Amino acid sequence: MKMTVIHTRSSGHVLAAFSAVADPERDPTPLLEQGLLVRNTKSIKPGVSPRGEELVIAALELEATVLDLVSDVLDTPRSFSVINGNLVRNVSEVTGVQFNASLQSSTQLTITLPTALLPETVIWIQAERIGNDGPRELRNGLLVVDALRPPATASPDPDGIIVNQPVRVMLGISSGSDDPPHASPLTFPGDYAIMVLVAGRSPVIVTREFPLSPGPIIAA
Amino acid sequence: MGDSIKRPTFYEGQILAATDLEASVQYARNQRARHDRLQHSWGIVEGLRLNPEERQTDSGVAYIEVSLEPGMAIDGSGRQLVVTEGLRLSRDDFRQAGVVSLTGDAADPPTYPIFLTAVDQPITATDSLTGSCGTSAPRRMEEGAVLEFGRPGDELDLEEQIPPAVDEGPDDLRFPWRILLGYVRWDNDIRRFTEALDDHDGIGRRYAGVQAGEVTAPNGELLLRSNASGTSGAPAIRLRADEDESVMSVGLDSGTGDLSNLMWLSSEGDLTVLGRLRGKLSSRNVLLESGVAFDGTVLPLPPGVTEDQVAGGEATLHIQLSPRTPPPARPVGTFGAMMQRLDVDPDTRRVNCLWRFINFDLLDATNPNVNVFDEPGSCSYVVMAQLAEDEEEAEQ
Repeated sequence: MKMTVIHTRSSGHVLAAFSAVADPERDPTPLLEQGLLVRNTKSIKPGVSPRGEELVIAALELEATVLDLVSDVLDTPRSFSVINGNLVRNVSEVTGVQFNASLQSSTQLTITLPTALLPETVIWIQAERIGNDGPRELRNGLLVVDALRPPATASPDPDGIIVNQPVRVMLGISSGSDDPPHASPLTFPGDYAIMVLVAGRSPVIVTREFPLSPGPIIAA
Repeated sequence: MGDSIKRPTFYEGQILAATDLEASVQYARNQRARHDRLQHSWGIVEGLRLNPEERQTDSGVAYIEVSLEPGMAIDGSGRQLVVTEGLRLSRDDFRQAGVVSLTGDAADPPTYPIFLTAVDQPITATDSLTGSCGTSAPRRMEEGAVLEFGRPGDELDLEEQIPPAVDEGPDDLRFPWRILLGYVRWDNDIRRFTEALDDHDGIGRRYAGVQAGEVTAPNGELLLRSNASGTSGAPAIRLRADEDESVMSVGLDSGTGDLSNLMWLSSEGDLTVLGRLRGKLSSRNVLLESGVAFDGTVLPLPPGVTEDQVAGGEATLHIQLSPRTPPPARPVGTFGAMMQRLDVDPDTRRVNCLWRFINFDLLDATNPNVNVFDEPGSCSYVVMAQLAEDEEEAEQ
């Protein structure tokens, strides 16, 4: 039996999966043309509007791979990644991720990962404005941790240099599609669903409101 | 109208002249040529392959000797070209033919076409018989065939050769018809052939054919073979009148001449195919796909059904979803799970599958911390595609 896993092209995170009995090794490309809807946990509390992230990952960022069927992957696909064509279970998500975007001084969303990461770790991020009728703000970015990023003061690691400084990823968020990228600060305040995919780690998907007063907000 | 065909006739006591006997021979010869030219198409009938034999020079350089095997061809005038015994291609003749190109790309050396053409050769009388006035002339004509070496590209004009008029016999050989046998490559340094080819750039050996509006078998079975009988794996088509199970079959030669069927049609119209049928299907077929899909994915269509068929209304989809075991709840506690949403977008076929989890440990309507949340999950699905009738079928 085979299954098709849909994962991000750059970081390998599996975001969905399906099996097909009649044609298990079909070309899945046509099924990705509309992108992939990724829904996160939606919290429901008395007196509070239900909140849960929904992002659409563009087809360009996706890849589909046919693998031997693993039932766990069909039920909890986001616990897995495809690395070099092999299925691996993600380790726990990166904690303490900071998100920062300032109305006064920044045209960018800055995301800081305080956790030490191995060189060449791929980080892929998508931020998408949600929850109102304004123009859809969608940004994504890719970062590969630089092996030469100094200094290497952490304990020696057999795999090489450990990046023990925070890794910052900056995504430009402009006021609309008519403006040049990064041209102006956030003029459409609102909620942004943000997905941070660090290769080999479970996805981090949160909602943050921008713009903010200066100062970082630390993810739960 | 052109000249009519004249059949020689004779009467008792007639003094036969040489022209009368010649007319008898020509009548039969021309009739045969018209048949071969007009009811068949020109080309190789049998044999006439260029066979290479690998050799080495004294200094160890590889080359080949090329020989032509016996066989027969029919040219565009309807003339038979018969090679009765094997013939080795002469390197001297090739060099003297004046076709060798002294320039060219060493990585892609020129290919020289080899043609067969007809030639008549009078045979000198070996006896002392003469005519009534002491005249003498050859009494036999040898219908020969000779090899001709062409320049690269000469093979491009073969289809432009002009056949004789319909009432004429074989060509008078002022412009001998060329039949392509293959190609050779030549090494100018060692002055030898290095390669023999059947075709080059899509132009190769042409075989004789049949021109007919109807082909009828006398014994109730008609067989079309792609190769000689007994060629293992060669495809063939058979029509058989006395078999209910397979009035028509397509198969492969098993190596003994028998056909191993791949597909056959019965006299009832039932078609049996051992492989898979691919392509656009119709006629109220119902095709299925099933499996498991996670929230957010687009359900695959059954094999053979295209997105265009669905968009154009040629295929109607029936989709059935069933919940699977809910995914494990992430927070710690005692949770209950219920299906919150399970449907599919009719336009995009995107699955919406959400489970609602309730923390029984905090189950109190007044407790602001009551922990209720929705999680995406997976479901089982069946997609059935019902294909619409063709317009022609609907009219029937």
